[in-house]
Amino acid sequence: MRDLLRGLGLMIRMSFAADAARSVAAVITAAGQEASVPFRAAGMKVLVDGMVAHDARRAAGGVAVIAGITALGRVFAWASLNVRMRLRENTQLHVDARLMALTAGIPGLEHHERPDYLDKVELVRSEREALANPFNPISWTLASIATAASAVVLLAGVHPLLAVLPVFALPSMLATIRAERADDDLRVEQAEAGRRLRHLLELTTEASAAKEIRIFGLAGELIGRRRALFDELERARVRRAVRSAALTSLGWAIFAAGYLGGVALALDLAVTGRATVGALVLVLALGSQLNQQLSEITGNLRWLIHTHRAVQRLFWLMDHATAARARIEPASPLPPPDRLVDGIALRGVSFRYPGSDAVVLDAIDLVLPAGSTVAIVGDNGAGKTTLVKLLCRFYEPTTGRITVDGVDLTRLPVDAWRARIAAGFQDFGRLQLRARESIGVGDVAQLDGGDGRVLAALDRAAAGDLPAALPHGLATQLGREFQGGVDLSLGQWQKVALGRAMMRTAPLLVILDEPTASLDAPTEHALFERFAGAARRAAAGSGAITVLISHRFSTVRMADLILVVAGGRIAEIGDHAALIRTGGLYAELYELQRRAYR
Amino acid sequence: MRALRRLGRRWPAMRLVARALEVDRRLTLGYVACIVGGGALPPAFTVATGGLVAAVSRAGGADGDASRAWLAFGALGALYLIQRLLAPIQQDVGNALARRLDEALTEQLMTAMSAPPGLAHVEDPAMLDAIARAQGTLLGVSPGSAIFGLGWVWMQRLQGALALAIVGAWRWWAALALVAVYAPTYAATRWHWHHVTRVMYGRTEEMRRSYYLRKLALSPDIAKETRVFGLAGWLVERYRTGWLAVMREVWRLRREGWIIAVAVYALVAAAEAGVALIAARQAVSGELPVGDAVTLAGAIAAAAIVAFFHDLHFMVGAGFDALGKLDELERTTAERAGVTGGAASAGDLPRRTIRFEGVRFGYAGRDQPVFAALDLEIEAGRSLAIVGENGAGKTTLVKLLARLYDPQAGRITVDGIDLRDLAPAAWHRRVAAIFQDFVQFELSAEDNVGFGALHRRGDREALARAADQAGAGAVIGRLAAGWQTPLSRQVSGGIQLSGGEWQRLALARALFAVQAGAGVLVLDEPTAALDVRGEAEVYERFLELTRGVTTIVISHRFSTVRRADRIVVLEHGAVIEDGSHDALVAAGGRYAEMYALQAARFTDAAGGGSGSAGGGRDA
Repeated sequence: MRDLLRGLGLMIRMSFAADAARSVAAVITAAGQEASVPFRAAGMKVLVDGMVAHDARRAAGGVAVIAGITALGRVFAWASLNVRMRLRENTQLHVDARLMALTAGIPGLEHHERPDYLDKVELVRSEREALANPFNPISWTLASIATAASAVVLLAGVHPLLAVLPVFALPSMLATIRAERADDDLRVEQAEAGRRLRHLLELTTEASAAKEIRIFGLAGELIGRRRALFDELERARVRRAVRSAALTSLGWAIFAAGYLGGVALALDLAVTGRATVGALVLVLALGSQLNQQLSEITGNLRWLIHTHRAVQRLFWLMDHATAARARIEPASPLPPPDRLVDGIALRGVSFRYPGSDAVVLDAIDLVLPAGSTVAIVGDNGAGKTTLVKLLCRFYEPTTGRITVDGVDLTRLPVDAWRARIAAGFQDFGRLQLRARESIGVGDVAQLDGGDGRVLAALDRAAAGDLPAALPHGLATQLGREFQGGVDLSLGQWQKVALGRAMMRTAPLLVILDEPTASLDAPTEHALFERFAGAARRAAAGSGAITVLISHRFSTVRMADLILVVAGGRIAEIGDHAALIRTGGLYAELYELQRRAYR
Repeated sequence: MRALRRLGRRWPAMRLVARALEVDRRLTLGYVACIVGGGALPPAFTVATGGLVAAVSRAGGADGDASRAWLAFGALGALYLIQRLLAPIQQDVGNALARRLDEALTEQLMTAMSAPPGLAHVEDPAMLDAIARAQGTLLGVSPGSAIFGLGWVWMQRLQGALALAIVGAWRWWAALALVAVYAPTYAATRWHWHHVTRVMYGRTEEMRRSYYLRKLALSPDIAKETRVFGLAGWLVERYRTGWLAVMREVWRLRREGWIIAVAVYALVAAAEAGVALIAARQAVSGELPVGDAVTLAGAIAAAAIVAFFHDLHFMVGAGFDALGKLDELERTTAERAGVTGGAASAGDLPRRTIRFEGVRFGYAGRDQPVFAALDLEIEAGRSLAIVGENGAGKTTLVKLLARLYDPQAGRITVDGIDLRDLAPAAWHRRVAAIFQDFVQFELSAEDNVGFGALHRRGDREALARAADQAGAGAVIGRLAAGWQTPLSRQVSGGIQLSGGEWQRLALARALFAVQAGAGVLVLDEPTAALDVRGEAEVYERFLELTRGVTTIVISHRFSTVRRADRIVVLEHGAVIEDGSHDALVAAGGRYAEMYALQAARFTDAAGGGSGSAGGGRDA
């Protein structure tokens, strides 16, 4: 119950935050639209009684009431529709902005990577529509309840027993609520399959897989799979729908019995002269409209439940975000140092991904000296990228701690720390914006700082030749998603990502996670020359540490410190010469690669 | 059915119904029955109400026979009950039909996009707009859901028509008078809705840009960068600005609708009141039985349902638009895809050579062609490495070779046969490829490898062999459910592979295709994400993997390149050097220069120039 109230509270608050004036107007117009219903029935009674009594004035009065009320009701309906539409759009924007800020603003990555969380995040995302209408069911329910109440008062005027009519609607309301719950459970159950359906659709319609689909002739296979999966889901939906329909029908049959009983009562009264014919017409009209009201209330209830469930999942996301923030933000924050003096140290750092038992990093002790270039090498899956994720604080160590110049990393506000990181990731994003933005967002605070900064960053990334290769230089729209867009080769995309990483000019930590995997030889060469120079300058300046993950030993060997990671542990540590002398894993791998150049 | 389809070309509703009948005949007919029922029952109930009132007024008279009144009540009760029970069925049947129709239309879209052998349409931004409209994402109305709205609209029209018939049976001119005010009302409300739609359609691209930003914020694709660069706020702001720019225009137009609305409502109300007053006067004077007057009053009120264009009509219209776009898309993709024609079987080509002769090719939207007149001969059964800077056209060359595009001038021949004369699908079967942006099928490991040759995917032994050759055997061995493990963290029981592991699987896929008989193997950066050992394995096995197969390898890693029988250097769309590794190194040209750059980093004496600070210190 408390949960429901909290949900309702949030729904109302969201609507008011999005558009307070229209939230109020939505209730008023809905009430106006609904209120016309019992008054019209009352007008009908006046008209019929007038006709039966051969009273022309009364009959004309009845017609005037009906026509006037009907016209007014329609104007209210029109107003209500417009108000609701606009309210929905405003709320949609509000909800979208909130969801975006939430999803993108959660400091960690857990909600993007854990399957059980992904389900929920996915549902929240797909239920944006329901979330955009939080106030609608509330205002309608309120209006319907008021109208139903006034109908009951009018009915009771004919005979007190008629006031119990709404009781007969209870079974159908309960059945509807049950059906909605069942629907929602099914939605949750089928969320994963829904993602698979979408993946199959994307594979066949998007450019990324188009080459292989054709060469390997996969179109028919993928379409067939989608069909099979859909049919399976559909069977479950139909089963559920049939069960719900049976229950709902039973509910409606009970209401129909009540309604017809009421009409029979009024009929009996009319036939025996204890009520007028007009009263019978009133009962007929009001009863059937009461049924309309109640079915609207039920429908809105259904909608409300659906929305409420969606809101609950939003709550979950909000709570997760708040908790994630709270967990990660320090109680007594310290600003990150202006420059690194000692460096970054890991003490007994172990890590398991939340919800998983596999130990990815196992009691790592390590010092990354200020001003040094550190290379991390190791097999695929050895834990190299995870180490970087911990340094960026996408995850927190399961045990152990990380210190920056002796200060626990958890004491630095996460956003402030990240503002001092420059990072290029292996799975970099291909931001389909104009080139200047796609690169410039690397320092989003200074996005309007002019092309000079972007060009300088490209230069630092050894990608100064990129603008010349684009038809409109930095103004070129990248990617093929939008009109006039130019798709880049993978290597060119990587240059964009590296440029983005180099936008920040005074980082404490530079992370390059396989930055050259798709680069050509001259670019790779230039890049490393530059990094070596930059690292030396940085050492004198901010004491920045450059962390490089690479499989290319030609690059790795120039690092001050090389970490060989194997099975979640640091297997070897030292500089190139020392590691070669040791004759261990590093020496073996180095030799393996070197042989290719003999 | 064919007659329906012919009619449908001019009448989208018929097209939709014809499509629905194709998809699920029983459900469609059931839905039509529900709609006819839902359309006829309320007017019948109105008549029954009048009948009951008539019976009661008579019963209330002198002779006082109530049995007719109870009979009338029985009829009314039966009608009511049927109406009540039919409504939820109509809802469920309509929903199910809409879902199935949507799925069928989605399948149509998938086929339209993926069936043509060419690629140009997939890479065309205009196509993405068309897809967005064909799926109805823009207005949030899918083409299938239009059938649901259509059912309602038709049901309401039937109700309105029958109600008008009741009015017309009394006085034909009264029905005519009502129709006369309905017509302009419908036109005015409709115009207003359409006005709004036009803005949205006119600015599809802008809306898509906003939605793209929303997607960036909500999806995991760039989650790491969003966090490090602190992009959340920026994304939200940009989304808001773009969205508002379009919606402000929509809102402005909608405001104009207000005056129209109030005017037409007054008009309709006046007409209704006029007709009702005349009927009431007749009833008062005894000219018209009271029961009939009650029926009439009900009918007048009910008929107005056809006077207004409302959201259901809009939903139907939006659905029709999507449907039309989908049909258009289906008609045009084959042509837009660019690769057409050719019927000859590919047999076991190539046996001698693949030849590029004066090939000209450029992408739409780029001023510079990638190739102006490329000449290149590729010897069958041997391996050829292509090196060159980023953007030199290496991948484009492979796309032409695989006939994902056709040259704009010149030709490509296989053993002297123009590639355009071969059936595209037949040639595609001859080609096996791993591209640098290889696909990560979020399906089982078995699918990921087996997709290389669907007709042979049951061959466990061949699958295992391909996996071992690509170094993927160990990866699969580690998976909890082995070959059946879904490779996606988004699927329960699934697992997310690392970039290197994925690449091994993609390589295995290509090698499986070779085992199944493909004669041309394309390796586009096949080891970019592999670790040292993986890379070494691949290049050490290179000769074994490519023996007897026409192999084209693209790589920046000379360790792989140098193993090829022949190497060409591509620059500015032309071959500038051509020869074996040793010959090219000896020639001292571009290749030698690039090779030396990388090799120098492995020779201890040179120390890799200024970059070897670490190595140099201890040496």
